[in-house]
Amino acid sequence: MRIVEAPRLGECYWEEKLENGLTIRVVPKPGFARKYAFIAVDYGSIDTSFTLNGARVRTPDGVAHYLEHKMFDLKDGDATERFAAGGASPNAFTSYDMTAYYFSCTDRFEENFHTLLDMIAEPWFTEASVNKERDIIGQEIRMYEDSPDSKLYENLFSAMFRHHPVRVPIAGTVESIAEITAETLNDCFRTFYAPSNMMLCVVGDVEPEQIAAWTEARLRRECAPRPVRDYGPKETLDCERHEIREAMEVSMPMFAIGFRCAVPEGGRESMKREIVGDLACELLAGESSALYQSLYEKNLIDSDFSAGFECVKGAGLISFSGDSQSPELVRQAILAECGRMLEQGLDEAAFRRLKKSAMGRRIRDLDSFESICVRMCTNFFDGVDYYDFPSVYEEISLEDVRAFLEETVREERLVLSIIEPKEQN
Amino acid sequence: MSQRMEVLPGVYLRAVQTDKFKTGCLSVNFLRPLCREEGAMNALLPSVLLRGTRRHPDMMSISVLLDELYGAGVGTLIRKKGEVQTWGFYADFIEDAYTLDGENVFAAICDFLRELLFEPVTEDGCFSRDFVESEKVNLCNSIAAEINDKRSYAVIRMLRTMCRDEQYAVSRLGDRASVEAITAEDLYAHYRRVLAASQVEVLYMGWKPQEEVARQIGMMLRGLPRAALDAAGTKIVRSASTAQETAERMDVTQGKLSLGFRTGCTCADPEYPALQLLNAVYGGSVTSKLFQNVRERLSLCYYASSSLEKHKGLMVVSSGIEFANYAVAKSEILRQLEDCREGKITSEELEQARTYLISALKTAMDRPGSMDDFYLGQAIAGLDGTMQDQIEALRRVTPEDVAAAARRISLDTVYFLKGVNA
Repeated sequence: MRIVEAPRLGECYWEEKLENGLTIRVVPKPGFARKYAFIAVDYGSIDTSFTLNGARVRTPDGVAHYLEHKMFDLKDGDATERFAAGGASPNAFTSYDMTAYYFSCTDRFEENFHTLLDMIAEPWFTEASVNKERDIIGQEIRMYEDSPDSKLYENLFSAMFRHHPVRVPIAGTVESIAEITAETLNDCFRTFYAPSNMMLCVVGDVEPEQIAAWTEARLRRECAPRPVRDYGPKETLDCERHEIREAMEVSMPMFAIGFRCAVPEGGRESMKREIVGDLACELLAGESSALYQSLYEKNLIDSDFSAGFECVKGAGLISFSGDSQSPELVRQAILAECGRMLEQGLDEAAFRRLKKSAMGRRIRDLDSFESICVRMCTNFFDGVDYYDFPSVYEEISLEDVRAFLEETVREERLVLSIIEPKEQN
Repeated sequence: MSQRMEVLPGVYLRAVQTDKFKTGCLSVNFLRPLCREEGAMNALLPSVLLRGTRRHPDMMSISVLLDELYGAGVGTLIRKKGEVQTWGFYADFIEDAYTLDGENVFAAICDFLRELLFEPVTEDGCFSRDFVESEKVNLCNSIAAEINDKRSYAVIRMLRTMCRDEQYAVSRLGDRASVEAITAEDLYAHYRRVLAASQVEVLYMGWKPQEEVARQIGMMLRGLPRAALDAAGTKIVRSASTAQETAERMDVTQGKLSLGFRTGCTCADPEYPALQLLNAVYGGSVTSKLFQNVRERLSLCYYASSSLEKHKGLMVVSSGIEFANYAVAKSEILRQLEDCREGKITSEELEQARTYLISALKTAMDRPGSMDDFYLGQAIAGLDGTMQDQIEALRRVTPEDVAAAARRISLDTVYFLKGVNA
């Protein structure tokens, strides 16, 4: 294995790419009782249309999430129970562009690690077990339908993107999951769960060589043909629809204001874009900005207000969200303040200070095993190394941020999503 | 593991020295009796203080200071532990070793917390009216926002019904009418009083040795007035007299079922480890009876779980179900508890639960936020035990202890949040 060191961060990782194509990274954390293993698959809810061996395939919405539920079936029982027997806490998630399985434990790491590998190596679900899961997932979907936080962003994405599948909720709908069978899940497993399409990260006081050896011995060797993903026709960055509203049982209006932005294909540029986007949000509306203070003092926002950059395979945006009695005034204030800043020139001292602050928080993120793994895998699938972030911060200039704001914060790019309270009868 | 020490009269510090993290954490907590008269004021106070100090008179200057401290975070913290309400601040900040030139960030944070506590922006001898009025609006909004998350809303409503004649019914953030009635003068008088009359618990986790932390905290709180301390404690109702059922309608697609039980035992009792194990076997983990039966066997829900309120002696079961499945879900939930009472717990179930709890405690020692909450809870309950002591106690629990813990539990309240037309 090779070691990659980041002395400035006080961090390092061991890396090896196995013959079957799987990349493994081990981040040593001496002194911690906790050990954490995380397998990510470069496969998320948006990967429903693709070409495989020349044939076009369209799978039902929600299939990646359904598959995540069913990967817990083992040859002889259920992975959850086996993890429990080993004293581990397992979990999994499906996002727009990733499926991940992980556990943490303090003792019996080897046994639990093998359970994780068994889970991911081969599917064991049956038609009966797949059917049984449908009601459970149906209840999960119902739960999201009653969640204003989920709805706020789902609506924003559905208004902002015409074709990109990020406009569809991650778990799909009760109707779309009715179409999913054991065969659908099996096909998707074969297509996307190839070792070369995954990454394994282990964080904790473990032996790196041992991790590689165990994985080599357990994970299947064949390399499946790579699917070519289809996220729909190319879209302009201007949004057709600029406002979307829904009434729910909430106490006051919740809003998310999104500005669609251009995003690079991947690589170091994608990391740079993320950091520029975050810094632009901070400069415009972060807690130390004049805009934040003025909106807060007028009670147009509260301390739940937040702003940041998000990107899912070609779909990128910055968003500003929170609770407000007048989301329209917040929208107007953001546009006006950005105009004023661009006209009067951006504050160089504020920019330097925000960089220092953002870097400090990024360094502190390295305390979180979860955050390390998610970022490491996300960046890896994007073709950039997580530990590059300090040097990327260094090369970003105020001009990068200015250009980003000028290009992005425009009415044509904007969508305002509002969840408003139901009329009281 | 360091001992809790008294740094000033009625002011206690527990400093856990560890160099495992890049982040140091500090919380300062003022302990108050939970009651309607002051619940809202305690909740409002730290938000008003965080609006500005004499040296940092607005939010922008505070944020600039925190940016310069490498993005340190300082926030308000209101907790409810049984019938004790705490108000105060929580700070997390980069360890000095990761700064560019080895600045002492911890000392700067302590100094800022000193400003927050003792040097508020004042006008005519009381708080800024603008700050108070503006934070009252925010607090009222936060209180109203409890309906947004239906899962926790159902639990809150159930507990409020169950404990309606007890102080526990007072919300962590107080109630709207009390917030609206607060004036800047009232709040300032309350502030001066609670500074003097509250037990204070300070918790620190980070690289600094205890002596240095104690010295910094001593400097930070040197202006703290001291008077006779108000007692803060919890009244325990050991068992329910009769079980009551209540329902509420709302325009939702999923029903939320919540059941409240009296456990007859709190974390201060010797039987508590057995209760913890019972909870883990019953509904506290993914191998629990509730998860395995209500979700996995009957496919009735996505979640069905139980949790303990260790200071008040309560157990809460929560599940999201189809409206029509109310009766079947409720009876299955109660049947699983009956099985526990009859000792129908396999050794596998018990050992998995034991391993799960021990592992959770060991993991908590690797998480500053969990340690902070654990040790504050211990201080409030008047307990000295460490997480390691808890692990030892869990190892000694027998199957009969667990069944006995289940038999002490009584159902008090069933609450169902259902659809408009259900």
